[in-house]
Amino acid sequence: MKILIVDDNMQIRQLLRITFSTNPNNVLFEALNGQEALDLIRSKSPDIVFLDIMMPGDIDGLDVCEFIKTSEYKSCFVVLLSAKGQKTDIELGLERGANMYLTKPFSPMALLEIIENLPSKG
Amino acid sequence: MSDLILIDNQDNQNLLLENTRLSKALAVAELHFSQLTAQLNEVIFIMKDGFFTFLNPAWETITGVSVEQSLNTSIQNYIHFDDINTVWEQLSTADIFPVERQIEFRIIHKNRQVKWVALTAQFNQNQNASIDITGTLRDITNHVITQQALTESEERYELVASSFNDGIWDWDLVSNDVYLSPRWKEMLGYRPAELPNALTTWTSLVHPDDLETALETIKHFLESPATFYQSIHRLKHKQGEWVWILARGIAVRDKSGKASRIYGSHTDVTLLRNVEEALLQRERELSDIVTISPDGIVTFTPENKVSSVNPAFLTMTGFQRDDLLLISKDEFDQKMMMLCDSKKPYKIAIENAVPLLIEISITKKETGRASEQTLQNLKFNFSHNQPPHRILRLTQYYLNNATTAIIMYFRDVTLEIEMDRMKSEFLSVVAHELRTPISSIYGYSELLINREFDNAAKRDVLQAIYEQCTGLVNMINELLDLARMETRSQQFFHFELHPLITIIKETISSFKMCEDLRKIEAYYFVDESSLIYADKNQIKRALLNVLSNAFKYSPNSHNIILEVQLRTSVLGEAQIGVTVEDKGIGIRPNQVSHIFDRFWRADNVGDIIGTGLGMALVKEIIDFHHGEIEVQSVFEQGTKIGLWLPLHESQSIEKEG
Repeated sequence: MKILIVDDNMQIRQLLRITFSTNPNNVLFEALNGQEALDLIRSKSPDIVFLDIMMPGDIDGLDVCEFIKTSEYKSCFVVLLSAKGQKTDIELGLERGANMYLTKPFSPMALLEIIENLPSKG
Repeated sequence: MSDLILIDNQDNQNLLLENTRLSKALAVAELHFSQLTAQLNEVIFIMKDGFFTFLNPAWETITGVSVEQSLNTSIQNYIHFDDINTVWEQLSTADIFPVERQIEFRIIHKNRQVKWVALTAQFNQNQNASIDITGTLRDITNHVITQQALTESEERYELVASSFNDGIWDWDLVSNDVYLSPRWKEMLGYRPAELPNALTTWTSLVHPDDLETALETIKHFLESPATFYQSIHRLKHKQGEWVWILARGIAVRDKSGKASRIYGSHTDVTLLRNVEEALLQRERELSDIVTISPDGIVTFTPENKVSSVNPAFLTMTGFQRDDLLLISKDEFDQKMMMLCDSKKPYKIAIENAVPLLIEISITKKETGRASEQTLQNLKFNFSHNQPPHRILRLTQYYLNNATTAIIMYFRDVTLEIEMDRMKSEFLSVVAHELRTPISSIYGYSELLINREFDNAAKRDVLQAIYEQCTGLVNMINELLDLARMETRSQQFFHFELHPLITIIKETISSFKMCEDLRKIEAYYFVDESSLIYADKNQIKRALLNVLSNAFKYSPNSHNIILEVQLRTSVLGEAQIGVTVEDKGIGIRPNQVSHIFDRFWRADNVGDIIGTGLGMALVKEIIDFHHGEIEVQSVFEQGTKIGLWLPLHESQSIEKEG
């Protein structure tokens, strides 16, 4: 399973890394901002993306999400992981094509479950 | 008299002689008495049991009947028929009121002429129960005629009509006789007999400041052809206070216009005067309140013209008073609409007369922020920022008033609204900022519970939790400090005079960046004893924040440069400042203005840990010290922060002392 982690916060990236690294089948990629995320999507074609919304730079998480869902990579499962938890934020995220919207703080065990239940690519 | 000599007892020779001597003395005294009374204009009389036993020659002037004929007659014979009952009643009830009294009534002269007299009498009851009355009669015909004459013209009628409560005075300019009515005396707290009817009575009671003017007014009136005069002066009441008197008078003039008499009324207008004075005082107070009011107030006349604008309104809008006074409401509304961002809300406000928020842009007032662009180098001066536009709450009051029809009341609510907005924004930012460290703590602890870790991995996870908790504590402390600073409460500050250099040296020596080998290169270009009036700990705190930023955001081998120098601010104020310069990552030009925003962090900070509150705190501290912060930054080359504080003026004096 190719997993892309996109977050500008080092602690969050580290937490996600520790969460997923126990399964040797997982391959992890990390991006600190939107531009890096786009580059990694194109070059690595991940199966699932855990995506922060507010990040430095011109491209935010919602932009990345929309890019994925309107491109050849649209089969990639997108989980938005955001500190913004308002109803309008969630609606906006799903509108832009996200498969799932989770608010921080989140449960690492729940993330693992998502990966386990992910329909295999085909 | 002869009765006294009929004494049989020959042995009482001495007594007889003594009686003779006494009777001679008595005769002399009686002679003197009759000579004296003969000179008087007033009638002096003595009555026993209702019959005259003594009268002086003035009696004949009043009645036309000789004294000899009148002795042993009753006063009843001379009184006007209509007045007999009243007078008799007064005289016969004397035993009930054994005091001095004054009665005014009419007497018929022998030639049928009616004369008004005032009788003043003293009642004494003698041993055989009969009543002796000693008294005077005074001819007051002229005064009564005066009063009757007043009814002749409307002016005169008014005088008398108002005279019911007024004191009447009459001044014979030829004889200089002055009459002052009982009411006149009563007005000043005196009983009629307490004050003589004389010009000096008036002159001695007039307020010294008013006497000259009052006499001048009368003199001027007498010399002019005017028929009527009035003036105001003060008279002293028996109790000592001043009574304000409205004097009105008319003159009796001969054909050549020369006045022989003046007479008129004195009205007590003290109450009126006091009310007037209180009104004036209230008006002054009100005008002061309007002047110092922080709220804008504009009033309109019933003709819908601007009648007043207060200074606060002029400050709010930037208008000049002269541009507004006496312009019409329509013109005024036009001017206001020009100021408003959108014309609609203002129109709604004035049409519906309900309190409404109107937003006003004031371009003139944008003096707070000065920015200056140099080559590749963006420099901002942050001092007392004023919002470029203001939000005013307008309430319009309609009055039923002779002078004012509309009051427009403007309250500047910019700050309130801005505060509300900032507060909710701040809360959502705080909530957001708390979520990230809590995410770590929450996530790691969940993993620890659900999963087996080896000792090394477990230690790493616990270390991460610990660091996040430390970060949270720091953030909360800084937030609390900011909140305290914002209350501007003096209890959190301890202001004293300090040499700035001492504070800086103490800060540098207490400053430690772990695992950083670089140094602070300090250069002092000021006198060691240059003083600032400041809270030492707060200034240290601000400088520590700036220094730690300089180290944190310059991950290289360059030292940090610190300089202390003097300068004169734009406003001409002497300032002492400390600048801290690093060769670090810098800030993008378009982001420099955000440096003091809470939780704001530049997008190029990467993994450098921070709360985004440090510079916000620095700004609060420097603002509180009436200082200025200067930020110069070149992206990817470095940042220079200057903290400038007012140099304490009397430092040279302090040094000498």
